[in-house]
Amino acid sequence: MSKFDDFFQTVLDGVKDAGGEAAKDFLKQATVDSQQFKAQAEANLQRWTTERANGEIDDDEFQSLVRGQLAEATLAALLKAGVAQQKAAELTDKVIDLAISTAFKFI
Amino acid sequence: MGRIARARGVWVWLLGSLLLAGCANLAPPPFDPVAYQNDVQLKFETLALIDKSGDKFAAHQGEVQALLASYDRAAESAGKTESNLATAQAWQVIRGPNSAGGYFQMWQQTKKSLSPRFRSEKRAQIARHFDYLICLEVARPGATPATTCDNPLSAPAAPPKN
Repeated sequence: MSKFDDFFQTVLDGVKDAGGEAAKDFLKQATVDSQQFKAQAEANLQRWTTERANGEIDDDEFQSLVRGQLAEATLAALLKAGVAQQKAAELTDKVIDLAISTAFKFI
Repeated sequence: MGRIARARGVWVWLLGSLLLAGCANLAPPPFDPVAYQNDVQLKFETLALIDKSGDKFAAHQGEVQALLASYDRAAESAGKTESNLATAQAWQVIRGPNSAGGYFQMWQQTKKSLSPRFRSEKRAQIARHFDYLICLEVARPGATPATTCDNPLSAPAAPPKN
């Protein structure tokens, strides 16, 4: 195996490790967040239904709250996407650092 | 000679990798303290105006129009950067019919007063909408530890305060 092959393999192994860890962390957090969001949404809908039944809010107001919950789901998805984008950027930085440091060892 | 060729090969591969990484990932823009402060301020102004929505709309029409114009400016500013798509879309949601924009329209169009319970629920909901937007700003690279946000995904389910 040539030095170039060694270099290539070292970087690939490092990328795999860095990518796996970041992906694992992200997936774990995403699962926790979606469960949390679902619990919050269910509690909200249950409360609004009771408030509608009690006459504290009318039909239009109930509908507005439900539509607002859908907007909230969109915003939650955007936040997750934004954090994922940031994680991807951090991952790219890790790959660049790894490739440069490995290159200096092999030259 | 062989060593030079290998070194050249390494750098060609490295440069290729960096270019591919750059193409594959549109990195989010760096943290913008002005946008962050603006979002926090607009959340504060929005909630303050919702607190007045038990009054007649006409008495606060000017304040609502000024606030909606501030939303437009913030959305326009966010939309100028291609990699800032998530923030621009969050502004679209907040300005839209299912968030703050829709609330102020409902206030304007309603024949009767909005109920106190609805105002309280909607205030809490729109506050969360802004919290998502502010957390998007904080998620950008370079945010300082002093910049914080109340991530609604981390909060326990609780009814709004009256």
